[in-house]
Amino acid sequence: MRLTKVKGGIYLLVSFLVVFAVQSCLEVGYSKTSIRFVHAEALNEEFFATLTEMFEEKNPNIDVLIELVPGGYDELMQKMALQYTAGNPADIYLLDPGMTFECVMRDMLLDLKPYIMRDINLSDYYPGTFDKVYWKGVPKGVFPYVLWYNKSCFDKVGAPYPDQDWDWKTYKAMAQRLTHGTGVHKFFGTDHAIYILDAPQIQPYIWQNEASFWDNPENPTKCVITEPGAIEAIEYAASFIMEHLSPTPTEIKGMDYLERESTGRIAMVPVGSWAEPKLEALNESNPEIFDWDIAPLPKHKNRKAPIFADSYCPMKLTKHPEEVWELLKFLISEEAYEVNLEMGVGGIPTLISLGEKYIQAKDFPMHRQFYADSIEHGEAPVYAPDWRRIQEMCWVPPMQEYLGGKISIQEMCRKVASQINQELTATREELGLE
Amino acid sequence: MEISDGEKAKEWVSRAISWLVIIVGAGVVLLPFVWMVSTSLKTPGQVFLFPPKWIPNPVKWSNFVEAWTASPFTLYLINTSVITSLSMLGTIISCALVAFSFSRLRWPGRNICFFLLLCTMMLPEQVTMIPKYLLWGRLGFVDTFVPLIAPCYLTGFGGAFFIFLLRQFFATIPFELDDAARIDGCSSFGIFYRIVLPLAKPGLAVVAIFSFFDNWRDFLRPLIYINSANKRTLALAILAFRSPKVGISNYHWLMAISLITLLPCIIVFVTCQRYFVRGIHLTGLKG
Repeated sequence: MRLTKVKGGIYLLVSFLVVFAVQSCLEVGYSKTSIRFVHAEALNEEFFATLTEMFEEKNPNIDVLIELVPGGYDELMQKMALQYTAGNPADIYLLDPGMTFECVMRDMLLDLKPYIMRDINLSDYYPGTFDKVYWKGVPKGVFPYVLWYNKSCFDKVGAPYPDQDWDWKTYKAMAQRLTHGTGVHKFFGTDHAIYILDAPQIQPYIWQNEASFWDNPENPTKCVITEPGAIEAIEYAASFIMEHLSPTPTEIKGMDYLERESTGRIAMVPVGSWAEPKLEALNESNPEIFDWDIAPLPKHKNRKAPIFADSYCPMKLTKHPEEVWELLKFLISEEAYEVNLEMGVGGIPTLISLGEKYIQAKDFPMHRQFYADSIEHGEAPVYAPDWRRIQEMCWVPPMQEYLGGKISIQEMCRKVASQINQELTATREELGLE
Repeated sequence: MEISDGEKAKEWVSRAISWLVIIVGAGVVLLPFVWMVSTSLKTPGQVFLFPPKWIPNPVKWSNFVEAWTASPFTLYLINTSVITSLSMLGTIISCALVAFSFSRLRWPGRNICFFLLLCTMMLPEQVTMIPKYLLWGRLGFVDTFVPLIAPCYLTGFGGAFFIFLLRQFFATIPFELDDAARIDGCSSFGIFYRIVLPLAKPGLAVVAIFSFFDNWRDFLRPLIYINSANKRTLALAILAFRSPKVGISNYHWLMAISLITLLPCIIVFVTCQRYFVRGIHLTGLKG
């Protein structure tokens, strides 16, 4: 009886070994190159599946394995860090600008300059397309920042809609006019709560006041918001919250992105073009309450506006750089951008011809030409290495103290700058940049 | 002894206050659940209406079907069920064996080993995440269910807590039963299998319920180990309703799916509540 069991065990073990051996042989004989591509855009799964299918048809020797990280960039960052530490990163990640910068600083990305110079006609693309990603990625599309406004709220008080002539003064005055009601029935003129705790989104105010957030936008080593121009700009951006023309960050805490806008009680919100699908869905769901359109960001001393670009970033550790480049080249090709337009994925194609086509593609928002205006005056916000941690630690608490009336604006800026500089120096030393 | 009217009134008031506190507390706890049920039956336009409409009009039952068919949720349900049931089984077998050894067998270094085991409870999952990922990566099991199930057969994933719980439970079973069994020629495994296990059903039920909840709702481990779309679990698939920049677009669907995935948890809890309370009660007594 016991002997039979031992024999059975041996047979089982041998069968396992045979299966593994056969599998290994098959893998050795497999000539296709597999490229792993990781992204977090759950809503665009079909888009990426279509693109990879098209690519594989054209390149039968390359297999693209798509990995979706559900959730958002935090989850993506977590997974990427883990895969990278384990020495098993994917070949390409779709990253937001902050993460792209982080990876550039940590020297995790493949230098694409030789490939771009070899195969791409730079004049076909919007200026800055590749250098804004430090030649280490290719942008999926650009998201210009505009002023979204709900016409229904304007109609209710008989106010004129925003246009390209609006400046800081007009914007503030109109926010005051559109704010009315009290308590739970309060209507807000604008919404600065969704980005006041995110410093890169404050940068346009500083630029428009002809000041800077960083000493060197190419390679930031010091935060310089203690300069009067920067202090004035930050004070202006925060004044909407201080004067109750916008909800506070505490009021929207725990809410989903643009959830407050979904109540129909926010008249304006400066935000990127990524808001388009959500606001369009609101318009369709309840046209009596929602009628969103766009205008350029209100100007001040200049008309600078931020543009954000999510990028396909290849990892330096990839074993197949040529195949990876083939895929990247395809992802920013006319063919791929056509699919982007067809499927309404969002993000303006960086290829100029398709970018223009995108702007004329549909009727929502009605004044889509202002996207082009924003691109023309657009600048990419500047990040610092390890920015997510630094921002949570050095920007958010002093800003909250200021909004709570506990410290002055000068004190807040001093505190932020000194803490950021301290952290930045340490991070740069750790990365060997000092 | 007769109770005076004053005392009766006092008791009545104190009971009324207790009931009031319980009702308010239950209301606060139930409110999100009610919102979830209400939202799952709304049209998109009704979700954020202000003031909120608690009773949807029209009631959109089709949300459940639409949400379920928006992604291959049947496949995700099967994946989650496979992982959960196999993990649950592994946890019960492995933890019961170890707990038996700690509670009823005498061997040198037993207490030190038990102390070391308890120390592992202090280690957050995040600390051991990278070494474990490296290990499973080297073994070639990333993007398979193996890293999610196999640790449960080695007392991993909450094992220390379950072992502790079962050890306390096993200790309540009289040792005289073991002695009697040994006299009759029963082996240690025989005692475990024929005597301790049948008497420890409430304790095992607690472990099974906890293990079910842990695995059914687990997000972090599937997030790390699963890459392919067809291997996703329900927890991952639900989060796929959210996109980084846009946030959640279809709240009504999200709530409908969340409600469906919550149902097994509610059913398990309601049907096993008796064991659950008894198990906790007994293990607590001896501990």
